[in-house]
Amino acid sequence: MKRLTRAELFWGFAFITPALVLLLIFRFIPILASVVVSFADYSVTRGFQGFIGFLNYQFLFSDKDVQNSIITTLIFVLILTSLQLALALFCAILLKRSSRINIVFRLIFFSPYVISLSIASIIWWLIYADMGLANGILGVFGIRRQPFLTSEKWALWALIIMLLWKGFGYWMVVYIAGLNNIPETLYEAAQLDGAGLLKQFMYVTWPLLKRVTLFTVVSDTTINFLIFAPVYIMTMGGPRGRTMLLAYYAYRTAFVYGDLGYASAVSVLLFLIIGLITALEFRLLRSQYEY
Amino acid sequence: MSIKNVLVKSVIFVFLALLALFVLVPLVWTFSGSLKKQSEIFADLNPLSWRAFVPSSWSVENYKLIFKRFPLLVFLRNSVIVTLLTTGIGLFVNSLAAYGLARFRFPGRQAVFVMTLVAMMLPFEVLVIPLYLLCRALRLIDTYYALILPGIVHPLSIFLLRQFIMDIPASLEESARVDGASYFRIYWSIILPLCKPALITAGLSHFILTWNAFFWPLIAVNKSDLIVYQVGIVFFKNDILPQWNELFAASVIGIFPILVIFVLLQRYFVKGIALTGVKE
Repeated sequence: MKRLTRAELFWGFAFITPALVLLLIFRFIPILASVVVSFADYSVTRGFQGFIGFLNYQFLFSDKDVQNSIITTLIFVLILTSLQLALALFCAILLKRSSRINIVFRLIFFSPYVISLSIASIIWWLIYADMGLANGILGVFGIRRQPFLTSEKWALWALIIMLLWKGFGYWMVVYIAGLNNIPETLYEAAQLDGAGLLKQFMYVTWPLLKRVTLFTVVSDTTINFLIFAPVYIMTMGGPRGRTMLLAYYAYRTAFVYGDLGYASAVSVLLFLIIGLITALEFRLLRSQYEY
Repeated sequence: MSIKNVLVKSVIFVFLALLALFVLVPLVWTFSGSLKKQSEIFADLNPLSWRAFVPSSWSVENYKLIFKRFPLLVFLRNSVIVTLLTTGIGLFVNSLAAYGLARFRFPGRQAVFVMTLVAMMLPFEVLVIPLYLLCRALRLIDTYYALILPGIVHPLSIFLLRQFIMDIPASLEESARVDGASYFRIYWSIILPLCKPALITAGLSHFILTWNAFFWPLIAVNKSDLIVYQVGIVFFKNDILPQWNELFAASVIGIFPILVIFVLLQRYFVKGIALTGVKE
């Protein structure tokens, strides 16, 4: 290794400083700040009223709304993430080869990803409306109008379908890249040994795709835990708390009720849940194979 | 081809075609609705007819109307300003950092890189409440600074550019050093031009992220002349008695720039996604 000259040391620091400063101020300090504020009585209207120890957290554990919100969020994330990734992987396998028709399908499937979540939510709000497109389609099959977003039974599913529409194409692209990294010779060898499509998937594709799957599972869960815009735009957490996802609950606590201390405690809880689930996913999916 | 093979192929094709329909129908409905009268939209849905997915006339009446009814033009201007400044400054700051991380062995380099990776896995949304507290303390709320400064660092860009620079042979830079060029000069006239494809990839995903951002801009400003398009369109929706045709038109305007850029540059975009998922 070359010896470090003084000029190199200086310029190395100089080059990273702008990004480092911004990263510290706008990403890492806020995280610390939210932990600190979660121990305080701090509201938008009255300002900082001093530290109150674990009081916010005590409220958190006796708050029925929070418990409902945690359960709703966990169900939502579990269903949405599995549907998105299963559909993505399935399509990736079907569209792995870059023929012209496959490229057209890929482009179509990917296209909702570039649309903002706020505009997508507005469009789907109209689709799910009483007089909207979804009910128009049901009408063709002679099915009665459904109150999708105001139905306690269907509201969460309505959000899930919309986000499945929005997101699976992105993960498909990731999976296609992963599939194309698997050497073709492995499939040829498997075929020679008489392995059918299912066996090829179980013994070649799936094990060699573990690293990509770890990436998609961890990132997609994190993203889905933080879904906010569709709830804000389409349901406001209703009906009767059925779509009260944690990110929206934290928002409402902070900016509708103005309780920044309590909202920070909810945020910290959300952090912890995400961290815990990520750790769990790493354990479950750590790859034993290298290639 | 055997009969079984043909059968499997057609089942697959039908599945993909149905899925494509599911993906496209909302978009086609939105676009054709943006060119119709409200009454027409409802008539086409009840009962549903194929006309719902075809523009009846090519009248841009709705598009003219929404700009008169709501300050969407101001929102659009703000979005353009915020997105261009964030992405522009971002390209500079992020590529500088990437160069520093790729080529200089200063103490703490590894720690900074790990911080970048952590920030990359940490979506912006998780930070909104603490970020609000911070910007409130710094008196940045209700300024362009609040909309721009927190978004400049794009960890994904740093990551992609760092990988790219590490693959550039160092011999080019060494000969420039011998000729007496400063490190900044090397970055500016050797590294940056070589990084062009990676800069496009990184800049593109940064651009789309910033243009589409909703949660933070919703919190960061309240003054109506600072509101960005993604937030403004939701206020438009919540306005008294939303007209569907106008909402459709406003949606198309919000989607259009990003769709054009995406179609033109999708090659680079897809490459970026592939790299993040597959490389370590």
